[in-house]
Amino acid sequence: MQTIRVLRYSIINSFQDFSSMFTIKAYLTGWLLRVLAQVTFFALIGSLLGSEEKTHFLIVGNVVAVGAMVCHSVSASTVWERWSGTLPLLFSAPSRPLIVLMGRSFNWVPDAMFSATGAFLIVGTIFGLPMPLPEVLWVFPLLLVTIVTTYGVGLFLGSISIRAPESRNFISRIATTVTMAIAGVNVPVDFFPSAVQSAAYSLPATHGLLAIRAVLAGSTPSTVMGHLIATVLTGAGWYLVAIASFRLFEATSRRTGSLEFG
Amino acid sequence: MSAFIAAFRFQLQLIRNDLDYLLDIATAPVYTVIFLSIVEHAGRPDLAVHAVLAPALITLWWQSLSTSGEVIDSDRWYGVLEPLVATPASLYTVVLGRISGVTMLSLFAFVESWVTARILFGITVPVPHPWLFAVAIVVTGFAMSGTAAVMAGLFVRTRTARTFQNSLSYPFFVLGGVIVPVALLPDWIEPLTRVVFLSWSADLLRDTLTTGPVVDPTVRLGIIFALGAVGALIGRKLIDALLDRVRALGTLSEV
Repeated sequence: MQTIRVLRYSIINSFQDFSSMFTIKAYLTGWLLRVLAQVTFFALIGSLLGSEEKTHFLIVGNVVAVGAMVCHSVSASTVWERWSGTLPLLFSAPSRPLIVLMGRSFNWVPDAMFSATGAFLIVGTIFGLPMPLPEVLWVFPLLLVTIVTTYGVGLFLGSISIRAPESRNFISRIATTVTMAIAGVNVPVDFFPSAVQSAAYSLPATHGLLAIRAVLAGSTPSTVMGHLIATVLTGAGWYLVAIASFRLFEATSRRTGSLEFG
Repeated sequence: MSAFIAAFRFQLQLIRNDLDYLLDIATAPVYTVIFLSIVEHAGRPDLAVHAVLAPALITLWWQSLSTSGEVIDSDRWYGVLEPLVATPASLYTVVLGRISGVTMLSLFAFVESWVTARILFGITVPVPHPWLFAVAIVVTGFAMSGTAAVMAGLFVRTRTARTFQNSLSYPFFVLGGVIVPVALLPDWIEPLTRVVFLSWSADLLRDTLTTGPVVDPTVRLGIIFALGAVGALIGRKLIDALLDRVRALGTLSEV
């Protein structure tokens, strides 16, 4: 019960953080505009190729990439906790710091969902992406599962950046561009050598994207379900790795006394 | 001039110790992979020029954009803004020198893109007009510094403007035609693209990478230079006006 209470407060804290970054106007005219331009940028490459099919492929892929990009911001927001000087206090509190660190970046989940959904609907409509009903309705829960599972990847990135705060932006940016490169966002995963494919299939975004593409292509429910299960399993794996990494950080910090007050 | 050179060298020293300054340069090869994989998968090797040039232009823009937003802010953070303003050197010259240092470094992305294409895709992009290509890169670097000076002037005026810093990337990659020529954009948007120096630079650089004569190179170089110069002048006006205001109000630390 205490765990849920701590997690809830941590999540509330994350939304407070977020509201200090953006007003609604700044979010819509600044951030959302950038997201729409990002997906449009890649959609236009499809136009350059002279292929409507490629254009639609690029739109769907980059919608999911936007969601992953936002989730990777956990790398930076985890470091903010260290900068605010609260880590030593959290480590000496009766509850586990892990719970706080897992909740304090949760604001990125609805942000990612809103950004990706907005890009899907707006850029998709502009470029004539087929959105067959009722299949298209499945895109949104699949997108949510993809984002929630990719949040696990973000938590792992955060568990690395909290050890090396100056690398927080570096880590998230590299993770995002690599995801864009290999996760089937712009070209199918099988375009790449098998080693790269293995790396790609370790990401929930790769499987989530396959599930979304399958739904839009009218594939059988069992095909979609297979991709969905793979999304959840890989995501669970990243959550476990992130938890282990945070616990190791906690243990090492206690042993070496390496935490500082801001 | 000595202040400009000192600021330029100072920025290069800073870059060595700050990972964030290398962020965009580190991602240039990955963007090359992204764009080349798209054109290769589509069976369009004729678009390799677009795919190799785009990451370099993206890096140039992103690097200058982030520095222009940080440069005055970080000086205030480290408590050196007030002493800097008190020196005889112009703040604008120092800012421009530092931005130019970053811009020069980010030109390395051109090398990264070409090497990535060669090593990972076995693609060699020839440069049929090497001298014009080199001049176009130098003038593009100048225009980038001038444009970044405008951003530095704008970002420092209001804190909320910093919120938009991260948003001035992809909209300008579209308007600047960094991979898709602006001629392919809807007609209504084209006038807007023509005041973005990137659109002229991207078109000219692509032309220097294709065989056949390059049309009106002097005029196009002149337009890129002029847009950069206008940016540099506006940046100067913005920063000077800001300094006048904070000196009168005694609110420099609140900049």
